[in-house]
Amino acid sequence: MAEFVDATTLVLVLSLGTMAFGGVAMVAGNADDLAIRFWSAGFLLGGGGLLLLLLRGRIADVISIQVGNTIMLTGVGCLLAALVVYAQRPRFFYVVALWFVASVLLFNSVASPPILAPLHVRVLVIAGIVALSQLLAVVILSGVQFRTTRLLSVLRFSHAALGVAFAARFVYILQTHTASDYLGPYPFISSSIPNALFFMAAIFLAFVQGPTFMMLKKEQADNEAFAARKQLADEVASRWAERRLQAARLDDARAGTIEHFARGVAHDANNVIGVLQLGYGQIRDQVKRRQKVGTDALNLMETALDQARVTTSGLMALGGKEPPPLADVCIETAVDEVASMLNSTLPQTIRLELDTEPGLLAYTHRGFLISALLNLASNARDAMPRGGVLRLATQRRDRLPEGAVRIGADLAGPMVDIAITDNGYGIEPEVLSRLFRPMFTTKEHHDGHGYGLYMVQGVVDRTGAALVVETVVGEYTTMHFLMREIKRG
Amino acid sequence: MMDATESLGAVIVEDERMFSEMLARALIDVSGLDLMARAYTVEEGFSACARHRPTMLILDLALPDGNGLDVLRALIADRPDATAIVLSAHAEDFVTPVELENNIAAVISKADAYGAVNDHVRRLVRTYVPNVEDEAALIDRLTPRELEVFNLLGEGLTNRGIAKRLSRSATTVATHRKMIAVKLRCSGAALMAMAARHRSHYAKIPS
Repeated sequence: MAEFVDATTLVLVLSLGTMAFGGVAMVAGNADDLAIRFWSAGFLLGGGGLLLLLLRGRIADVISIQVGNTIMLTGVGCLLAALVVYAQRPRFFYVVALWFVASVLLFNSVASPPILAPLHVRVLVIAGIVALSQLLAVVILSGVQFRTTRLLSVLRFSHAALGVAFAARFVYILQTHTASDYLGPYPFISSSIPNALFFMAAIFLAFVQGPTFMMLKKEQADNEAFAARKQLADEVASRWAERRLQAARLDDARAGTIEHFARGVAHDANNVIGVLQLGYGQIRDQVKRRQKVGTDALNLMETALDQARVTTSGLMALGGKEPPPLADVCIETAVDEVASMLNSTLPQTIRLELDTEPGLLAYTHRGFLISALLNLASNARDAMPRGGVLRLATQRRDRLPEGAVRIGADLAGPMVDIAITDNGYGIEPEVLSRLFRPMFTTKEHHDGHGYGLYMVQGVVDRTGAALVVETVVGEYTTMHFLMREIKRG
Repeated sequence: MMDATESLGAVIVEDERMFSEMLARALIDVSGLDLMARAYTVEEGFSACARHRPTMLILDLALPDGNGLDVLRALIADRPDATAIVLSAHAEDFVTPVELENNIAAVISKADAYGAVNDHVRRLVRTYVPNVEDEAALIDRLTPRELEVFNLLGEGLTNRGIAKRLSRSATTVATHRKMIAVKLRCSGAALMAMAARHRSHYAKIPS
């Protein structure tokens, strides 16, 4: 082996090889990546330093020995810095800097006057310093916290091996007090197989380290990209989940409205069924006992049926894509019908007052109108639990009346106003704003109320009417139901 | 009006007037039940209870000015033995509050009111006023023919008049009348009075 390799060639190969790695890393590597910049600079400087060493005797000694070794040590420092950045252990920057300053000072003071140490001492110092640097590299790489692969072990092992190689050289020189002058006239290292082995080991290990580190960086970049993609996917997924949650909430709200509505309708239906059931039971027993059938029971049953009819008619006002058929409706008879139903449903504590202007005609839907009026009247009744006066008044108007809230059409011109007034609680301002929501109720137990005004709103919207709420808290509430007037004739 | 010890005083608290009226009519022939008043709101319920001190409430839950159970709570403070039949449009969902467990005799759906209220009220009357005869239950034991005779007795007809109206012999009518007397456990003037009550079914219901 010693016959065909010589130290100069080996060092030249090492120098050019490391510079080639450094150059490729500098050109092709990510310029924003500090680790890659340190790594490429380290290999370029290390290779350059070695080149200067090779030129000893042909250039000034200061440049070859002091500058060359300093550049070489700077290269090693850069490589260590690259490892520190890669391993994400910034505290080791201080250790690396300390090693670098101490090494440069030590070597230059040994190599310069007054000491001016001979070659083998200089090589001994360099071997020790580099062995120490490799130990440092192993320590840095041993503390990697993130997930990685076998590549890291390879890199760590190569540093350890290089450290052992330099340490062996250190010990060897210490014992033999010689360092082969690889720039001597004899190109072959015939006398020193350990030297040849050392240089080949150095080349081999440096050539292992170059690509290994680049592959590790690639692996790290892949991991980061994967993490970023995963994070993005997670974000997208969580946004979808959020959207699904919102949709579910909306569904819940819708289901809640439907449930509330259903309970309200069931409550009213139950009242009607209850009246009919009681009446049926009585009449059945009277027939069975050969008693006279009471007409009072029959009358109440008839009213209950009327009420059921009106309620279903009002419910119909809420649905349907086609507009309801509107016609000229005699307001007086419609209000009379409402009044007669109220007469048998209002408690005795509430007095019904009627004030109708005769002969009024409006363009509306009779069934829907009656249903809306009964709903408004039933709210008026509930606003007067201690009794009071419920007033039904009709009149002609040219403009919409003033009020706290208005829903429906912006009517102008001659219109018919059916005003339902109670002298009850009045409506608080904060209640007014929520008045026409389907779930809204002021009644304590939400037991089947609160869809009435929503239904009234449906009638208002679908018959082109308007509703104006006029109220004074603690005094009265008037609901003006307004429709376009039709002139007779 | 009967003495309080001989009858079960009751107040109906229900805001739907038609239902309340029908209920009062349905309970009119329950012997031993004294329907004292009908209230439409919680407040009216309070004052009716204060005035009449009823033993029983027939109670709707959702009233315009609050919860019907508050009326029961107020009554219990005055009369711990008071009892209530709760009417609800949602009887299936009703959960009896623990503190009222001993005072709520039944929870009845409005849609099933006639049979259920009659049953429960009659049972409560038997419990609270054990010595009162349930006339309606007795009368229900009469055959159709006997009922016919009983009704005509209520019109004030004599055996002979009834026989003529029904185209039967006077002896047949007399036999029916004896059976009626046995079944209804009274005779003579008391029977005549009972027949008259039965015929003129409608006493005035309280407002």
